[in-house]
Amino acid sequence: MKKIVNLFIGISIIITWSCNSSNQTQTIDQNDTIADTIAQANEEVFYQVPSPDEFISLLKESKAPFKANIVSPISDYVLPLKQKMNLGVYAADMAYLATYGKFQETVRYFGKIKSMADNLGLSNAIEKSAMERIEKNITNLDSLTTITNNSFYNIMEQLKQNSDESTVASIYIGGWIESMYIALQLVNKFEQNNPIIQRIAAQKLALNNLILMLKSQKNINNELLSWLNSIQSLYEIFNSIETKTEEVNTSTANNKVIIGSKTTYLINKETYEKIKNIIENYRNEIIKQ
Amino acid sequence: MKNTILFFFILLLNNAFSQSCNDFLLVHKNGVRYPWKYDIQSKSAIFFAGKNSRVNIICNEGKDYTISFIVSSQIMEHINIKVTDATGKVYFSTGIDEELVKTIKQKKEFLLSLENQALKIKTGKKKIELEANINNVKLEISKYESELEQKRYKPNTSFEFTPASTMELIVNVSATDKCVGKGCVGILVSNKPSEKQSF
Repeated sequence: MKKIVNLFIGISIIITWSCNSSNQTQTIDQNDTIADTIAQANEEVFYQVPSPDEFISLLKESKAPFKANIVSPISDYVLPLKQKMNLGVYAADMAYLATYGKFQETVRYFGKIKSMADNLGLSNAIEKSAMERIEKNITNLDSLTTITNNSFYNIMEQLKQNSDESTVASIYIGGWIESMYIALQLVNKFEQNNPIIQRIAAQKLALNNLILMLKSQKNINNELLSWLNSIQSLYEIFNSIETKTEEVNTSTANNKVIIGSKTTYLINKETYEKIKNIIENYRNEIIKQ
Repeated sequence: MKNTILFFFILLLNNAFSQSCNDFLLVHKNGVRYPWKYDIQSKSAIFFAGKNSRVNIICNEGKDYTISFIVSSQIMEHINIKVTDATGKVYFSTGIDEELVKTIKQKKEFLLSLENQALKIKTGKKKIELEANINNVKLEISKYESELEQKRYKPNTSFEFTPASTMELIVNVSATDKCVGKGCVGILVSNKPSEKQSF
């Protein structure tokens, strides 16, 4: 019997090792019961967060003008958490630069993201030919955004495949805060019905998913726990914004199925300033050495 | 000792299967064509009898979305999918429609009562009216049954929509207890800038 157990342990170790391309180790809680394992396997909840480029592209759609010098300067970070969070920051910056057609700058941020991904052991995530393709398509906005976005998605997907949840969450926190920072910098004057401000207020939903994604992690480290507390307090402010909802019945207009209701965020200047200050503080905390 | 063996066996299966489902969307992801673009909120996972999954995604105002469902053929018949908002309002569903099943049952009971009444009446205007009603109910039942068959054997595999505002959508995927074996289910989310509705 002991031999059979050893055989299973051996096979499990080999498969666990071969299935994870990164050098992660997976610990098994000795207290976990078989019943728990089965129950967990039968019921799963995933909280997804859109990529930073989704929000950034909507800013351009809202006619937000480009502002130079608001992206985070490229730096090298030593602490692993800083490296991961700033990868998210640079992804948002790259999306902003690419969306507004700043070709040379986009390539610079792409190069940095590639080297950071290599450092995380994800050298396969971005194809070797990607940089070459970017240089070939440097004046084609659609190709540039497609290549840069797909490269970022590949990084995130490889991390998800490796079950590196904490790195995924760290990148999302950095990316979400930087994209909010960019949006806030593009607002010239507070007006409740400013489309950019409405979009900023609507980010409450993505923030909530980010919080739930972090909370669903089994082994969250202290640094991430601290960030979880910080973004939770920010969420409370977002949550205090009252909304006005107009019912839109599931309808078909121009062959499009429109779903949900039309929500207007009744954000006041005080709350807006509070959010802006907190985001700026968080962003400075992330990008400082 | 038996429990330990079972635990490692489950761990082994979990590892082997979850790895194969990770790549499940790869081909379909590459098939997303401009102006549509792949959305990183897409997800794939292994499914087996009794498993339920909930994927919460955020859909931004100003974008059109398509959620496509790709299911391994061996489990396709036993997978139910439902897309709701946070209040539980259903926007899309596949699999057995319990409401429809209930309606068919009610209609069949009503048909039986009409047929019993018709047996008691031999001739006259009432008889003609009853027979007309019976035919109508039969037609309705046949329409609902073909709808049910359609949902069961030729389900819609994608849902295209435009959110009126930025909203959370919950994609519920479940495998019925009758599901034999295991297979992958992929939720492929793609989006594109929404076309302007006016000048």
